[in-house]
Amino acid sequence: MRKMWRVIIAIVLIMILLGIVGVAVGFLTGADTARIYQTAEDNNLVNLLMRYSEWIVQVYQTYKAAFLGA
Amino acid sequence: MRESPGKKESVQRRFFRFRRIFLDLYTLSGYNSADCTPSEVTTINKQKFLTELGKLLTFMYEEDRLRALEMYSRMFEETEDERALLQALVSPTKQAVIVARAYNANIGRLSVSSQKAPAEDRDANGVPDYVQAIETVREAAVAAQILRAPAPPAEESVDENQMTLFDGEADSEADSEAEPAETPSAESEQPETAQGDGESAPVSSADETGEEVPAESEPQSQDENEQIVLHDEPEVTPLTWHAAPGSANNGTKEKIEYFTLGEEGAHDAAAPETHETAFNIDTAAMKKPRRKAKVFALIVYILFAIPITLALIALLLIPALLFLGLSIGTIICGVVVVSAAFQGFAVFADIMVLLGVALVLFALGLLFLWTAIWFVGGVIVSLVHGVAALCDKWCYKEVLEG
Repeated sequence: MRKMWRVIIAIVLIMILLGIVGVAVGFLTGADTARIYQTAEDNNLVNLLMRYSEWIVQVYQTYKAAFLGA
Repeated sequence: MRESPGKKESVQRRFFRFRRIFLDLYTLSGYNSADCTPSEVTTINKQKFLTELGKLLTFMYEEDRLRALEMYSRMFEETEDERALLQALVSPTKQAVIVARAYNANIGRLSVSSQKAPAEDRDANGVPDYVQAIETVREAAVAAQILRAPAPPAEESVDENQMTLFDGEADSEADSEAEPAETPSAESEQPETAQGDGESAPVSSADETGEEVPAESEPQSQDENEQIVLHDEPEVTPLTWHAAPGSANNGTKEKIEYFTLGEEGAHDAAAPETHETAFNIDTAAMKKPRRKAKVFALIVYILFAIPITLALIALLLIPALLFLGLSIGTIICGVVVVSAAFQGFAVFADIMVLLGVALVLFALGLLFLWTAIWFVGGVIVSLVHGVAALCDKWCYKEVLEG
């Protein structure tokens, strides 16, 4: 288990590092958050993520009601 | 904590198994003692040699096995260079093969159902073949000047020697003065070619009074004394060797206990609880411990442990499921971001930003997923193991068999 923890943490750190590098490269090469948000909204991506998060909250509340009787 | 001795024992057992296979291969290919590497020899000593040999000779009847071990033990006591003797003996495996070949030559007694060999298994001249085989090994060691040559017999006959070893006060005093207490006297080192059934120095505990009893005067008692007193222990257990009590200043006593012999019927009665049997084997240490349940404690423990454990498992399942949900959500978000990056975005910089964010989401999802797995497979399983170990500790006790 301990060895597996080390492996997982190493993989996670590498992935996070690569992600940060990707974001940094993107912003250094001219990325713009407002444009990204606008494009995502145009592609219905923001709406999709919002509906997905609402669904998760709904599922959580359903299980909470089932377990706790609330 | 409790696993470390078992693990060590397992490693030792594996080492002995590999060494045995290695030596077997060398023996089959004409292995010579001169080829034996020093490390192989120096890693073993008398105790390990005899313990290993004792394990390898478990196919023999217990009395024969102990007799063979006693003969090898005497070789070690007679030698001044234990390492040279170990080199000459090569390995316990080789000696076990030698004994096994001689042992199986005339007796199909691979069963250990009985502690005692039947009388018809004996040779006509009373000396079993395996004893002769060991004597051959011993003579080879004597010829190589590793062992001291056996002292020439005194004016007494062999029988008188055997009996006066254990009976005569005067002789015992002379012997104890002549030799160190740890070393058996010259009489006790007589080759086992004595009369009767070839048993070495049969005695009875009654002979400790110091009176010499001629061997011919009690033939019946000599027959009875042929059987080495043993505890009923068919299991293979490591032997514990220790010096005879009082051996430092009482050589006669040591010799008497060296061959504590008795009748089969009087097995347990004759076996002294002082653990001073042949070779001074601690027979109590040879008994296999057995776990016995404390019933009341076990019932009470089960009554309390099961509900508490189930409650703890339920409690631990909550964070496990929470982390599982988080991981699933995070990974789905990452997938959505990646798919969106390749669908609607045309600027390379924006795609790079989205891919970077997706990688971070995947990393977090992996971390959450592993945490959930760790809760189920690590924490909950450890909890169950801990409860079982606690039950083992509180509700069971170890008792010696027999």
